[in-house]
Amino acid sequence: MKETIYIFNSGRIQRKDNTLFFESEDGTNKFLPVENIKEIFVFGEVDFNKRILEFLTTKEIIVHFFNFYDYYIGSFYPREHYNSGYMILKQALAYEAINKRLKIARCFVEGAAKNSLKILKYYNRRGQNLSSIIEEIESYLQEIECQESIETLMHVEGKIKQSYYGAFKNIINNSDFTFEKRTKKPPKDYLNALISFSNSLIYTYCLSEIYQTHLDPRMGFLHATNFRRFSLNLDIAEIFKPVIGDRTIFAVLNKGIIDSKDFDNNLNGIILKPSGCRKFLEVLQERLNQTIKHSTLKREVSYRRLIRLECYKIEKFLMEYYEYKPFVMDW
Amino acid sequence: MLISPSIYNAFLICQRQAWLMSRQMVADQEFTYLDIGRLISEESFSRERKEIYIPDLSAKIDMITLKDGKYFVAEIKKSSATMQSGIEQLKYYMYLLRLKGVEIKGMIKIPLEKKSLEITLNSSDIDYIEKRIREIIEVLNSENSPLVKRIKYCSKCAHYEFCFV
Repeated sequence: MKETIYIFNSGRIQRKDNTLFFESEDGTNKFLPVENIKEIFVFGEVDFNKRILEFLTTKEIIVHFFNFYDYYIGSFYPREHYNSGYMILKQALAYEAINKRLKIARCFVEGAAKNSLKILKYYNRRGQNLSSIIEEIESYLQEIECQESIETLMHVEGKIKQSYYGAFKNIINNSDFTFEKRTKKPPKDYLNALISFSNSLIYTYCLSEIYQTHLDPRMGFLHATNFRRFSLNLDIAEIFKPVIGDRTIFAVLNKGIIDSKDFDNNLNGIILKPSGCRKFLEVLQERLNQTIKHSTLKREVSYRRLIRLECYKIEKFLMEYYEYKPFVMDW
Repeated sequence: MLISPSIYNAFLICQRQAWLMSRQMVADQEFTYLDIGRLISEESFSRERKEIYIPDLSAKIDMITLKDGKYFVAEIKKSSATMQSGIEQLKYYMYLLRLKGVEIKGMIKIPLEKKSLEITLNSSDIDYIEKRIREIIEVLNSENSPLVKRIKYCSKCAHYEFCFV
């Protein structure tokens, strides 16, 4: 399996012969074997030159950039290497055909809701009193099917999210990490900062997986397409935010891996310090590598691979008589 | 309509794979079997000219080899297991080259087993190939992809996850 490289140090990345070489400002140098790299995440102040971008393009390595506040800046998305005019056409046609678009958009909301419920039920069985929130979300789940427009569907999704986030204070056993509501840009408290960071990572993993398929990341179905930025990855991320991101958040907070000391208060709201960022990514990467037995494939697949499989299912939904069903956790 | 050798070969194994390839739905390149295939052809016979690309046939010929003063078009295989499809592939190359006015003999090489086998193209082969081409065109022109049909080859195919998920 190819690896994900996370760069936190500042320095310069360059091409040495046929591999990558990272020269850190603190004097440590490192060769990065290029054949084994899936993608690179850049958190530090790293200098790139055109030769590197050219090299990364031939090696089909995607690079995701984050700024000092751990905000996602954007990605270097090398020219598409899996171009299929046929697939692009199918994707665009599905976007245009409102019934088909609604069908798949509902699936994303449904997948997100069902995975959120799995988590809530898990903690409910462990003695957290979440029954009323579970019932609330279950009733919203019934509403998804009868939404006849993307706008109203988004509205239902919003209600589900609000109930779901309301349960976080019961799940997390650290009083520093409670919140009244979801706040973004800037996040107003520790938990919001962590959720924002986690979500932006899930978006980028989804983008990386889309890059390995024939889908066009610019054409989302639930998140309106504006033909400028990526939106399909936001759609797919809905399914995996609870499965991969939120579960990691609960793990790092309940095990005390991350606490309030890992955050900074500054003019831009609350930010996660590099130390916290690293610790979170370590646990997240473990989760991504963890495998489960896939019921239909009869193979062990990692959580990371599940994102790719979701892309394949979407491709099949767009091109043939295949009923798309979002991935839902077993337990 | 000219059928490229890669699609012709895929069709011999699986119609669905050929259909997907015809729409540039190529398989995930992270797949190790593909790497093994690439490495074998890169590492063996490094002295001879290899991988000759004939653009207007979109054909990639593994190598041209010289034996007893005669030229052969050669196909490199991983093992005898895929011998039959290797022979069919090679005959198709020879057929395409013949269309271009090049009469040439063929040879299958299995470097890992140190074997080679000479192949000739006769008129019944040509009839068979032309019948095949008509079949392929009919399948590829269909708007719908051929349905998933599980065969022995599936578990080793780069499209496995795509088909069975």
